[in-house]
Amino acid sequence: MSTRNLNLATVSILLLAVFGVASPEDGVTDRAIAQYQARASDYPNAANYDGLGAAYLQKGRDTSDLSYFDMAEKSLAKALELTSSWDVAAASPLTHMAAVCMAEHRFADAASYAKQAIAAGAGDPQPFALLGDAYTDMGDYDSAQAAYSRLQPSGPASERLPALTYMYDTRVSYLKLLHGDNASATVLMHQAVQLALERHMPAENIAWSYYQLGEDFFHTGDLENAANSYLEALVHYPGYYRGLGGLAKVRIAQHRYDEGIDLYRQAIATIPLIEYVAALADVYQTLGRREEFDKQYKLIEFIGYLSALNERTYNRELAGFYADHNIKLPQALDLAKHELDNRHDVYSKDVYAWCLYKNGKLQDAAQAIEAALGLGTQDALMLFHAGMIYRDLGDSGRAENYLSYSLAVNPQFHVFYSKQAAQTLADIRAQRATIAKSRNHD
Amino acid sequence: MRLHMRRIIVILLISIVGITVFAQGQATQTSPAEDRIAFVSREIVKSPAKSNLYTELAIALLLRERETSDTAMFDQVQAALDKSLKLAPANFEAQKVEAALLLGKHEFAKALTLAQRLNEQVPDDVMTYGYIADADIALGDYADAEKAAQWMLDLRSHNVPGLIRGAELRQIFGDPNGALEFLSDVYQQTSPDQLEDLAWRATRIAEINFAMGKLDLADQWLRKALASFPNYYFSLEVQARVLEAQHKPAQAADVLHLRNQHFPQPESIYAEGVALEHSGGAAKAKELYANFEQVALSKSNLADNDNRDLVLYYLGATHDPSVALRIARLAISQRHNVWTLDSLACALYANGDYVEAQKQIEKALAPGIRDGNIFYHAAQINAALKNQATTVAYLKSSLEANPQSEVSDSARKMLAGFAEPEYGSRR
Repeated sequence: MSTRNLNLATVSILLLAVFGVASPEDGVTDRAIAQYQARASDYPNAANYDGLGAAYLQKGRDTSDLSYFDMAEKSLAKALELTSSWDVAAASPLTHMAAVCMAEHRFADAASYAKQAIAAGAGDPQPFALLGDAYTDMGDYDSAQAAYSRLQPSGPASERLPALTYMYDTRVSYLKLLHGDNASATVLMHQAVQLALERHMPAENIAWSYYQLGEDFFHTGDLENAANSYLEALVHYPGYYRGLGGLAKVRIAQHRYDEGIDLYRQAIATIPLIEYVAALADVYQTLGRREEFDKQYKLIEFIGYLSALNERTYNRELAGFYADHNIKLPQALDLAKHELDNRHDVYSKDVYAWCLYKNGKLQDAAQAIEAALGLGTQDALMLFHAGMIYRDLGDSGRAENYLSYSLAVNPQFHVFYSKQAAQTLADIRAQRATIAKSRNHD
Repeated sequence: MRLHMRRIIVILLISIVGITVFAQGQATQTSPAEDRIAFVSREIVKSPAKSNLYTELAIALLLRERETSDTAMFDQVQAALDKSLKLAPANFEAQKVEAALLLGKHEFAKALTLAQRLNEQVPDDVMTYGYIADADIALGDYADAEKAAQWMLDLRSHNVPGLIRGAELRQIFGDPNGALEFLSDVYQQTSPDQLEDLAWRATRIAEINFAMGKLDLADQWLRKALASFPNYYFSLEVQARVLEAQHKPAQAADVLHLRNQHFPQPESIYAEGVALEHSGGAAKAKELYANFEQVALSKSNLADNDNRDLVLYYLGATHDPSVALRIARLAISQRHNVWTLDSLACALYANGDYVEAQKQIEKALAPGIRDGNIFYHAAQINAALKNQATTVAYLKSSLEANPQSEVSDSARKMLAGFAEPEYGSRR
């Protein structure tokens, strides 16, 4: 297609916003690993080691077995040894390396690799997306927005590439959510879903998009639309663990506990994400099923401490779980602090604040929760944490504001905290009424 | 006849993520390349037997050369490559850097041979096509350069090295807007941390706008470039050209004086001399010219020479057309790109050989380049040959291509001289 004016080849941008298109069960990833192992053995070049690294990365994502990320890193390091870091050929292993670091929660390293991938100049905008993701987790939201903006080149909207628009919409939707603009977040995610459908993206991408839309709806307490979105995810990608987990959350919020438990079990059977195990444990606790709660608790600890990498990756989940259940509170605070050292996003600040609160450090907790809410995030759980901290500090005005705000954002935000929020709010108001009444009597 | 300065820039596409803001030659803070050199050197201490680390060191040193124009770096690059190749003989990556080094040293024919050999070895490596394109562009083999650049873009759509070479070729093929389109894509793909890359790319955009007579835009882009990488020599050189076009020779001289504080090159010394001469500093200009002449003549038989600038010098400052022609012939024996052909045509014209001058200027224009100065030179040659219609056409093309070029006033005056009196005119 050579012309005098050096036209660009038809643009084909790999949709790497979501890795992988195959379900973990169908063996595609295993076959890719075997293929690249053989190729790298016969032809030990950068491309084959890069392919092997990418396959291990995918396997890690398929199974949640973090040891695959270690293997991915080793393969990618070999690929980088076999090429120069400045060459366009290095862009792919550098990008995969950034993705591995993201998966391992090494956000600063992820940003560094993403920058190197950008500098290699391969024409693939994905490193900008990864750079933005790393900045988001590091709590540097302005830099994240700047990186994401590179996914939307200036010029007429009609000239924008759908794949890039999809990447942009999904990521900026999350930033909007963090900034408390829940409506815009939902609109952007809805656009992303439409794009995924119109462009016939892989089923897993479509399912992931619906799942994210469901999260946005759940975030604002719209349980019906949330359930529909999660169900759509499952229609497009049967057995999708995120869809199952999301729907489980809705069913629990609707007090359809048996269905919720079953859905969580299915999700955990696919990928034992600590987040779902913890949510299931919460349900068992609410239902007073102590024995089953203990089983989930053991599973959480097993996953959490399986390896040093697991410990680093699941700091936040473990800290939150311990704090929620008043278990190992000093350890929870340590974990939350470690997490905050590495990850400065609003949710890490929130968990840190909650752990401080549970450890009786109320002033520090108030400071931390204000930092968490600094962006204006309208997250019901976070607002509930703020309400409880201020209640214990004796600031009933603020406590009432935060708790009522929390319930207004999502009245069914948590299996047991929603109830506690409503009860605490009622207590505060009742107490205030009593005081007012006694004053009137005086 | 005056030629304008148009330095051939070898597109050594090397990118690096910067950490700190850097002032050229002023070691208040380290530059991205210096950081890289320090990092790789530390790694070498830890693992002295790893050949790839010496290749990385060579790359970092090349980057430092691009940051500063300190060509003394080339020896260190070679030493690092020798070490890499000793540890892993014939390793592909080190040989690729060797091709880049040869390009940096203006040994284009050798670079082409090496890059072609590497390309045969690994035909889907994007950068080897880049080096082939670079060498072909410098040598004036544009058809081959285009093929190589097209391969780059076909192999990886939107890749930065491919777009940069594509932009260079589009400019030569007379499509500056197409060149800007590519460079805009490149700029968009550059991270804010790539300080020198940002500056280099912004300067290239400025340079093309300048060549189109869009001086305000050129100025804006140069400000961006210098904000990213203060005192960057390449940006300062282009800024001086913009200032000259804005009839601000004294400021241009100041900018070039600043540029020449560190690692001055013969061409930048010559440019400073010209700016000084234009702003009334004849004595100082003479001093700089003498310095330039001495250095440039000593290198005239080497691959890395300043022969085009010498031709300018002998046509302009000293008015010695026969020496200019001798140098121009030497230059054309080394490469036949549009700029060398243009300078040969000018030297032939100055020596009264208008027929041969016409042949050479037509060759220069053959790829389709739309450059105000080259068109003006073509007009002058055709005027000497009494080809009035062609002369007028070239003058118009010159003003269309760049209404603000340094020859634009002369072109307008000359064109007015050819204007036919209107009916009813009292003239």
